[in-house]
Amino acid sequence: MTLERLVLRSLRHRLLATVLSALSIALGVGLVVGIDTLRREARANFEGAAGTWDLVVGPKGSPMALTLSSLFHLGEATDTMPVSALERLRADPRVALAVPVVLGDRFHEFRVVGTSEDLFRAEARRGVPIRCAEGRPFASFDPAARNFEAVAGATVAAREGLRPGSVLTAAHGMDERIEGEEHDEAPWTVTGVLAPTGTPLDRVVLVHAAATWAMEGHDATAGRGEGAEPRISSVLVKAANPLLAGALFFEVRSSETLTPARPFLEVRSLLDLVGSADRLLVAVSVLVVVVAALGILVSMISGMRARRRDLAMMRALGAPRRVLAGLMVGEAATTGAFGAGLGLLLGHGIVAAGAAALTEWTGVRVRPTAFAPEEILLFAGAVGICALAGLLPAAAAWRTEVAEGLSGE
Amino acid sequence: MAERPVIRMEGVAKSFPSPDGGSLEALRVGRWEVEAGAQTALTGDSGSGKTTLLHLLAGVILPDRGRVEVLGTDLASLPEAGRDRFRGASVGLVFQSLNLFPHLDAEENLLAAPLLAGRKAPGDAERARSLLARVGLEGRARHRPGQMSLGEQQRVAIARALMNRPPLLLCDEPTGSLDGRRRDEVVALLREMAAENGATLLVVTHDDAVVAAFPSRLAIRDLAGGAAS
Repeated sequence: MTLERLVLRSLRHRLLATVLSALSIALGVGLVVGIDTLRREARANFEGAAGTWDLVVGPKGSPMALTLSSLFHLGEATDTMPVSALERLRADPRVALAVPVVLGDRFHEFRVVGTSEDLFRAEARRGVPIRCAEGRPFASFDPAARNFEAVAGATVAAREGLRPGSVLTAAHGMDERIEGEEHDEAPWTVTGVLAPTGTPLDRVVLVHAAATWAMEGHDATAGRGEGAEPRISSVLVKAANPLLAGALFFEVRSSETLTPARPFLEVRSLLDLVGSADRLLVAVSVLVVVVAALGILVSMISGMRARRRDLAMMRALGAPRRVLAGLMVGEAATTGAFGAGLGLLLGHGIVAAGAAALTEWTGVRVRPTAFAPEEILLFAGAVGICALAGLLPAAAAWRTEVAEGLSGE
Repeated sequence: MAERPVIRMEGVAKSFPSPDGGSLEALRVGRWEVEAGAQTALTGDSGSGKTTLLHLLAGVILPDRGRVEVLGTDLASLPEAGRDRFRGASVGLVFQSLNLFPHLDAEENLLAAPLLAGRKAPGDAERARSLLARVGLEGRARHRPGQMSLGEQQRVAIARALMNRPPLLLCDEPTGSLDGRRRDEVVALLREMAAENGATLLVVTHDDAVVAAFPSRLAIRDLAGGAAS
């Protein structure tokens, strides 16, 4: 027999109150963990996906919108720019890699992204190469052969049952809610399926940019007259080194027709903006933990009358006052520990549920099992708050007089 | 040389506040000694000060006047924590009812005694099982008080009171909630167990049948004038 066992036995004796108190703590801790893990994982993934490119160069406009449409395939690409901008960037010795992005078509709810075979030299995010799990990348477009080849992202392939050799028909426009004209004249043949990357690339169909210009209804020169060059939505740029990326950024920014975006910083500022809402949710969740701890206090105080004789009996057996007080604090802290432990599991369960929705919407993959060191602090904090709530019952236990509790006359 | 008395009270008086703002004398003891190994039944009507006497002997309360010595220790000379330790180590207590912790089984109730008195020892579990067997409850070690009869609960309480091998066993109406046959069994068991463990036994009761079972009997009203056991 130990004092810890005495605490556990007492909690078991008041099982309903213990379970309800622990569940309230679990709810608060679970919300904090859930929100924080989703925020942390989403941030890591968004920043990871954005961090593989130093710059996104697009037509004049908002750098944030440019980043979201080119890298995360969210929102519309509002304008285009001449393909010569891509050629200039490719020719620049400070640029290690430059790939075009051509937006405008979709396959069901998935976007069709025109790019080049150079994309397969890049990483989807740090340490995750862009490669085919099945088949091969698309070949360069040959106008004579009209080889409309496509590579399906992992999610697209799984959802639509695409494999190498499958044929798909794209529709014009990026919003699936608006019925667009289907490109029946140029069906795409799937040559490969990307390995899952946990990035928005899983949710797109990649094709060669030049192939998109050859499709009916795609006026590659956008009505700019004969001899006008084809147009693209943006260029993803990887610089030879970070210092050169800075120089390139400022140089492109001085252009009258182009906008540079530093995707990592754009994503970070967006997440910071969203972060203030996160913090409010976390504050509310912490409040839930505090209220739950107060619930423990109320439950213990209201049970003190029934326990008076037990406490007096303990003192009669020689237990000093500090042991009685310690038992009360121990019961509150143990309830908190059960609740906080359950909350950690609940939180990661929330993440598992939320992760599916986040992946569905953005392609970003969140790991429900991603434990953060801060969770240890959260656990300790919840236990600490509950232990504090046990101080008032501890004071009542401290005041227990043997004579009062055991008076038989 | 005569052995030192286990209990020695001299010139003791204890009063409690009365509802009208005055004070009510609960107990007065002239001079009283109990020798080691004695088995004494102390009788008195309800309100005669029986429980007050036990509380004084257990160091739960202190006298207003006089001296209470248990095992040669003047209890008033000890601080409260010292009296707690003294009680845990030297005094076993058995009460009328609600003696046991309802959330612990019989064996755990016994093991709580050394734990709470700060006297845990490696052989505790073995001694608890042996005491339970001695009171005829070897098969009920895992039963909680709610799963046992009142007589069985009282036997567990007697075993627990002896867990720490106290030299003094104090019992307050230990058979108050039992019927005739069980009362006699419990009294006999108390006496046997006290003798086996070398404990001095003092039982306060208003039950004449219990008093009749003890070789040494005393009315609490007689203590005011001085008595010896």
